[in-house]
Amino acid sequence: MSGAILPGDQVAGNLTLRPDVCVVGSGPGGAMVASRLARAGLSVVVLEEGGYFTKDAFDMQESTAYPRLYQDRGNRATADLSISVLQGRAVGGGSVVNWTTSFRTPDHVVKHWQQKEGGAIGPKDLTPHFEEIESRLGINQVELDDVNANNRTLYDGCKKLGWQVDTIKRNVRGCLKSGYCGMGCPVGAKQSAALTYLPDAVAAGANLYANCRVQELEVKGDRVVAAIGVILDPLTQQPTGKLVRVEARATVVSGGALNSPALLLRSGLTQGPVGRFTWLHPVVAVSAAYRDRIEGFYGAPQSVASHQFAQRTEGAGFFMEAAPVHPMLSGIALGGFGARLRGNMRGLAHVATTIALMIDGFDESESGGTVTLRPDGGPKLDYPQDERHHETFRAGMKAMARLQLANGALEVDTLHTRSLRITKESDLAQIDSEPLGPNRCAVFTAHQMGGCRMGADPKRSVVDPHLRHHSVHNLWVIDGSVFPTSLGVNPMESIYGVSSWGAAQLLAALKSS
Amino acid sequence: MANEGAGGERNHGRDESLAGRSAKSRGLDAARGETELSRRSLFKKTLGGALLLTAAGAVPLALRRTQLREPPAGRTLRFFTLAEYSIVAAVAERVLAESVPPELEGHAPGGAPDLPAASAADIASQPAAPAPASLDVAGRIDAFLAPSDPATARDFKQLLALFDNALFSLVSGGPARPFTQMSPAQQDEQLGRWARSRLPMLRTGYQAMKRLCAAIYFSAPETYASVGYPGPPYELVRAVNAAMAPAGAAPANPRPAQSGATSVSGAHR
Repeated sequence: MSGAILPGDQVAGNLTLRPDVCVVGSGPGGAMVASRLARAGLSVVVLEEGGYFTKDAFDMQESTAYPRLYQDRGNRATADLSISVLQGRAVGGGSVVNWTTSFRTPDHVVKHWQQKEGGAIGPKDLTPHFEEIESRLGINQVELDDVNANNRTLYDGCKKLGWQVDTIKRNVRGCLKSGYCGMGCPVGAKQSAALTYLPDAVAAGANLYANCRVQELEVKGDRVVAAIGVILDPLTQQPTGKLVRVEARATVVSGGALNSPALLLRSGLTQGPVGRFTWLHPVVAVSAAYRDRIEGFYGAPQSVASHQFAQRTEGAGFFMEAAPVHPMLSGIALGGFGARLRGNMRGLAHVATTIALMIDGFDESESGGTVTLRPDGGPKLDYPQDERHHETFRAGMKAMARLQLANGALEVDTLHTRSLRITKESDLAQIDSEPLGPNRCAVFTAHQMGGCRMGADPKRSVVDPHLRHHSVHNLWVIDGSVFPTSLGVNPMESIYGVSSWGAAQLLAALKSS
Repeated sequence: MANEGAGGERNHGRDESLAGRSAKSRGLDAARGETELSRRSLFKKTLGGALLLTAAGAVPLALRRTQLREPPAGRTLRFFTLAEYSIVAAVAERVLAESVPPELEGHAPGGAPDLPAASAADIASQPAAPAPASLDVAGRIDAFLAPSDPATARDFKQLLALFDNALFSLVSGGPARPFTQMSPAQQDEQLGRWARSRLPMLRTGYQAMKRLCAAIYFSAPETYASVGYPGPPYELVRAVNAAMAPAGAAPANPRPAQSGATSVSGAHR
């Protein structure tokens, strides 16, 4: 029998539910788990804090999309605001607003997890999962002809310098290339979890409660007794006073990095390094001005990536991609204020934006970010920057400035508070001398990973190699928060892949119990 | 640096002396200070010295007050007090100012204006941008912040109080006036001091104000034409959705008219 997706205003009063499995979160992790378990015949309830939106609700306005579809109404950041955190929050999670870039987990990353943390996943184990996912989500390579001018500057600049660069794969069917992936696909072309694995789960009987914020897990001894959710008003996102209590045989936390560790902390589950070793692929960007129009607000936002500098010996690796150039995000990111900001904004249609994503978590010296709790119970993220970050940020900015100048950009602006203006090779030295540190240069993250690390050693990890909590035996964490490191590629497909593998582990455990 | 003249360097120097003093006498831990704006402590501690209390007495009462401005008719404040609204309106005016005050020409704290592609015909033909006040940026920020949790609300309100405090301005090397009573040039210098302060907390405060102003202003459709953004392709999306039978069918026209360019050289002029 088919289940349903129920927004908060369709919940009449307090509810108590007793399914086989309760899944907290409906992004790529939770949607995948719900789909696999429901299809295996288990009764599944999914609780999702975000709202349920279909394509008609996506109006392509940043002022609507960010408050509605992102964590903390688009305002999520580290506690000191030094890193802006773009993280989705909706039925379908980040897959509703991400830029569709799809990569399998690199083999060397999976091997690193095996060697360092005693991971149970081998590179080959994920292959059948990725094959199924790529088929279900329409993941295909972008044709060079479909690359917009913004991404094309990255492609051509790398080619001119002899650097590695290629088009990427995207999870779309019938893409209009309108450019609004980040605000929810207005034509339903993006194959988000809300259009794929969640409908699969619902068709197999799962029930999904939207606008339901899980406050805590009620734990007795080594068991989760119940997940306690508060129903939010879909319009105001404020609590209505109605509660949903889900007493399941097994509970799966799939809130994603930051939210999953925060839920464990709210529930008093402080075993292991919960909240620690959070990885962000910290992003620095440059904006390059061209004589011709680039119109980086239109076209597939990401279609090209360069991994030329992914394996560096002088510091952390980084990879380079493009970012869409919409007015609000640009206004937030661009350096300076007043006439400088206005001048740069006035030329927005002539700007290409390139980003360098630092591959964090692979050096013993790194501790990454730490999630603790804010006074309101939400995740408080701290992510200190050290010399390793600064070296990588500088190398990234210089590489991006070089490729943009090689491609004929009139000028490259950095996003330092005092924006540097690079017009020739000799200007690059400015990047080395300009101070870095919190709020001295704009830093972003669109990729949150870790915080509930998987591993064999309960002192070093939160869940075991099969994603079961080390001390609470009917609790699993299945999402990007279990990654022991970052990935060096955009994480969506890895989260689906590891979650598909994890769902199989969970299913096996439930069958044997 | 080309975009930072003598004025910027001078401000930077003053600011370091402030950082040195408070760090030495109070043991202000920068690493902790940057984690939360909520500390009224910075304000209190910085003002703790007898010297500063004397200075406080020297500031005429009228000059310690926020210069108030009324929101436009029909705007009921839900988050700010009138004073807080007035501070944010004054900040928005400078963050989103189109020109550098004459006395700061050549060393604008916000960075030197210059637009390399400005000669392009399409940029020259873009309409002027609306004034921040005409969009009531401060009022829209009020509406945006209204649902904030209490801790965030407290942090932001304390930030505004500090930003408009005449004494804090004085000890930071600015005039003994609240921000709302300064000249545009003095206001820009204060924004620049905060933006590049040695104290992480002030840089955080600057970013909070700057990003809110920029986000609210540039996400307003009234400003799109001024930045050369034609806006979302509504007609195309409507047509495609109407033509699309069941979900997943190929769209009739796979590309928005505005984005014909697939390479820089092919971009339309």
